[in-house]
Amino acid sequence: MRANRFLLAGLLPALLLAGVASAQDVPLDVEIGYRFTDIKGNEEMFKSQLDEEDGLQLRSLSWGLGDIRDSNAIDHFRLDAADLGAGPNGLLRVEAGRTGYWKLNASWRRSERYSNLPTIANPFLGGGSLDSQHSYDRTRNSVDVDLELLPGKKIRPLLGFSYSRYSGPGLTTYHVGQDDFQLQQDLKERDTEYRVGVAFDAGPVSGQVVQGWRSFKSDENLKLLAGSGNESGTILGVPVSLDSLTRRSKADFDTPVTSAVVSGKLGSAVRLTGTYVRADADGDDTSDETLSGNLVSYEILRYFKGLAESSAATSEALSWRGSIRADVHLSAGFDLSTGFTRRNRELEGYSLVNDLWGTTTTFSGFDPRDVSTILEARTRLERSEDIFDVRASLKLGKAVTLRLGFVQNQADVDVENDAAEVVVPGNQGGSYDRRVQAMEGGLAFKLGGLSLGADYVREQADAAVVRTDFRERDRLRLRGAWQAAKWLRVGGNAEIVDTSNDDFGYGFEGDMNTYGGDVEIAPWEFLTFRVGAGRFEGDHSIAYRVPQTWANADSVYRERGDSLEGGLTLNLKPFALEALYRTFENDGSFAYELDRARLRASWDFTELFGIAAEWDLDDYAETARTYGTGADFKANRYGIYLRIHK
Amino acid sequence: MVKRFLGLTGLVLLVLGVTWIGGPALAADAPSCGDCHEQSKSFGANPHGRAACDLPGDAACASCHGDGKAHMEAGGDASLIKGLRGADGSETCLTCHDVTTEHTSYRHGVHGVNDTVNCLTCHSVHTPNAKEPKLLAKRQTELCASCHQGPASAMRSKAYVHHLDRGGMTCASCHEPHGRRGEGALKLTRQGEAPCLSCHTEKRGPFVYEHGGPTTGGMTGGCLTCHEPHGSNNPKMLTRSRVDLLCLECHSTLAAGALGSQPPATHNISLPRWRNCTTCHVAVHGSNRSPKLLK
Repeated sequence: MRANRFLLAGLLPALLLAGVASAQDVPLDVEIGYRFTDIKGNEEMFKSQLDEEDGLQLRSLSWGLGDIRDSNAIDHFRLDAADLGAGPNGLLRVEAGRTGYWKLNASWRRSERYSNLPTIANPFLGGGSLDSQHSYDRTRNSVDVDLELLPGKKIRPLLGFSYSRYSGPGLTTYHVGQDDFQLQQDLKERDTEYRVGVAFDAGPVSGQVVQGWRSFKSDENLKLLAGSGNESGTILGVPVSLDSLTRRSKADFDTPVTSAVVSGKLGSAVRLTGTYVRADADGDDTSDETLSGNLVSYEILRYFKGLAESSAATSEALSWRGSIRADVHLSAGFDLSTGFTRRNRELEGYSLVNDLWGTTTTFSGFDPRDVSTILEARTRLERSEDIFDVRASLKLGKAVTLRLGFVQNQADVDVENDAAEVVVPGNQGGSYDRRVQAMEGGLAFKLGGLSLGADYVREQADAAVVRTDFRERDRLRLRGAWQAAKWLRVGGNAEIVDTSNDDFGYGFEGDMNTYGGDVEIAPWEFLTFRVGAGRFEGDHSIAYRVPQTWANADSVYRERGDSLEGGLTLNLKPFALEALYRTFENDGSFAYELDRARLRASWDFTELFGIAAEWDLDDYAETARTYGTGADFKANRYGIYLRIHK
Repeated sequence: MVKRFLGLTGLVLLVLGVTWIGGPALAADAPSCGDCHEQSKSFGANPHGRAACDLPGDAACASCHGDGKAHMEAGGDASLIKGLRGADGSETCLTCHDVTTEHTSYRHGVHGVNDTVNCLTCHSVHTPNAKEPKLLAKRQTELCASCHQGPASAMRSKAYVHHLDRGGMTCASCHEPHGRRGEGALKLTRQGEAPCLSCHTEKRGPFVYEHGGPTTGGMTGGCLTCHEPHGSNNPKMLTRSRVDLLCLECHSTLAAGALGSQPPATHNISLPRWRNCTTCHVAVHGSNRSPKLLK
C-alpha cells in the first residue's frame, strides 16, 4: 500500500507535466481519484470475493510519446497502468524501444489476496461460526522485464528478468496430538528468474536459445494462536491441549531452464519446427518445530507433553520436453500440421524427520520417558508422455472451412512410495499407463454478416489413472453470430461436455453444459444497447466409499445457473455513459444469488480535463444454507476520478 | 543489493551502447498517401510506421496496400488499391508476422486464418483502441467475449472468479490467442507448465510428497482436477461445493486400479470436523516433510 502511494505520488505530477508539455499522436489518458466503499453484511465474504478498498487510485493510464522517430535513443514509448493504489489488483506496463536497436517490455503487477471463507476449513460452521480456520491477507508483487536487442536483425540478444514476491500474515491449522490447533502464519516467498538468450534469423531458418536461472526461496514462521483444539471432548480420557508451538521452515530451490526452438522452411510449402526445453529443479527444505502441551499420539501409542522436531528434505525434479512439428501448405486453402512431442518428468524426494517426544507415558500412565523416532523416506515419481497429433484444414469455396484432427497422448506414470509414508495399504503407488485418443472435427461458415461454427471432439481413454479421469468424453461447441445490419448483431454459443467412466468401481458421469447469447442494438452511432443471457448446467456423479462405514455412496454435484444482463453505452462527446445490470442465480449444490450493477459517467469539460464517476454494486445472497443470511453482503463502491486526456 | 545495482547498471550501459552503435536516427519520411488519408499522418507512431520508416515515400503504405499510383490517378478509386479484409487480407499480415513455435502459429493456431476468424478480426492497423496494446481493435476481453460468450458470462456472473479487466487481468493472461489447438491455446510458463503457475508460483514444487503431480491428461490436469478457472460457484474456485466429497472422489478404493488411497475409518465424515479435510491436510498442494500432507 505504501509503495503504491509513493508510486502514485511520483506518477501524477510527471503525467500532468507531460500531458501539458508534449505534443503526442498517441493520446494521454489518465484517470486518478478516490474510491469509497460501503459494505453491508459479511465484510469477510466481500473481501474474499472482491476486496476492493477505499483509497486513492490510479484507475487507468495510457500514455505514449507518439511519433518520436527523430530522437536518437528511442522511437517509441508507451506506459499503461490500471487500478494502481487502492487494491486489490494493479498493473503498470512499459513498452519502449528503438526500431532495429532495442525493444523493452516491462510490467509490474500487484495483487492483494484475501480469504476467509465460511465453508473452507471450518469445522464449527454448523455451530454458527463463519470464520475459516484458514484465512490470509497477502500481497503478490510481480515484475517481468524482457529486453530484445537489435530486433528485426539476423542475430538478436535477449535478456529477461522476472521476480515475484508473495507475503503476508495468515491463519492455518496443525493436526498434532490427535487434535487440530490454530496457528498464526507469516509467509514470505520469492521467485526470481534471470534469462539470457539469442534469437537468430538466417534466411529460411530462424530460432532462439534462452538460458534461464530460476530461484525460489520461502520462509514460513508459525506460532500458536489458540491452545484449545477442534476436538470438544477428551481423547482416551485426556483433555488435549497445546500450551506453545513455534515452527520455522525454509525452502531454497534452484532451477536452471534451457529452451531452444529452431524453425526452418523447406521450399515454400513446408515448415519444420523443433523444440527442446529442459528444467532441472533441485532444492532443500528445512524445518524446526517445538511444542508443549497435553497430547496423545497414536503413532508412538503414548501420551506426551512435548515434541521437538527437525526435518530436512531434498527434492530434485528433472523435466524435459522435445518436439518436432511439420506445417505443410498443400495448396491454396489446404493446410496440414503434424507433430510429435515427448515430455518427461522425474522426481526424486528424500525426507528425514527427527522427532523427540518429551515426557511420554503409556496409555495406562506407566513407563515415563522421552521417545525418539526417525522417519526417513525416499519417494520417486516418473511421468512420460508421447503425444502425436495431425490436423488439417481445408477451405471449401469462399464460405466454408473444414477442419479435421487426430491426437494421441500415451502417458506412463510410475509412483514409488516409501514404506514409511503408506498410511493405508493399496493405491498409493504403482505403474499406470493411459492412452487417450481424440478425434476432432470442425466447421466454420461465413457468408455476409452470418458466421457459424461447430467443433466436436471425441476422446477415448483405455484406462483411468485417478478416479476422476474419464474413459470417454465428448465435447461439442456451437457458435453463431449474425450482423444483420450495421445496427444489429445477434450472437450465441453452446458448449456441451459429456464425460464418463462406466468401469466397475467408478460410476463416473459428468455433464457440463453452457449456453450463452447476446443481442446488440445500436440505433445510432452514439448509443448501443446490449442484452445477454447465459445458462450453466452441471451434473456430476461418482461412486465413493464412505470412510467410517465402508459403504458405497455417490458424490453428487449439481449446478443450475442462470444469468441475465442488460446494458447501454452512450457516447455523446464530451459526455459518456455506461450502464450494466447483471443478475445470476444458481440453484445447484451451492445455491446463491448474485446481482451486479455498474454505472459509469464521464464528462470531458475541457480539451485536457474531465471528470468520471463510477458506481459498482455486488449484492450476494446465499440461499438454503444452514447459517441463514450470515455470509450475505451488499457492497456499494463509488469512485470519483479526474480525467486528463489529449 | 550490490549485485542488483551492478546488473541494472550493466543493462542500462548495454542499451545505451547499442543505441550509440546505431548512430543517428533514421529520417522519417511522411507517406504522400496522407494527402487524402488522414490516418497516415499519425502513422509514424504506429509500429508499422516505425518499421517502415526507412522506406521512401509511399512505399510504407505500399508494403501492405500495393502500388497506389493507379488508385491516386483515378482520384481514389477503391477498386484500384489493395484493401485488407478477411482471410485474404490476413495473408498480407503473415508475410511478416509468420511466427511459428511449438505452441504458437499465427497461421495454424486456434484462431488460424479463415474467413470467420483472422488477424483483422481482433487487430486494427489504422484505428486501434488507443488504450489497448498490440493494435487491438477493442478492449481485449470484449473481443474474446464476442465469440466466447459462455466463459465470458461465467467469469462475469459467478461469485468466485479471476476478475477480468481489473488490474490488467484479461483472457490473454492465461490464454495464447495465437496458440495452436489443445494446450497451445494456453499461455504456458517458459518451462511449459500450466499458466496457473505464472502467478501461483508457490504451488510449483517440486515436493517430496506431491499431490496431483501424477495426474495425466495433459499438463493442466493437475490444477483443473479440483479448480475451475473460468469462474466457479464454489469457494476457492473448487469444482465441488463440499471439500470432503471432492477429496473422496479420488480417495476411494472402489476401483482397484486407480491411484488414490482410502482414508481410514477414523475419518467419520458424518461429523463436521472430519468433513473439513484440509483443516488437517493443510499442505494439500504438496509437502516436503509430511507424507499425509499435514504440514
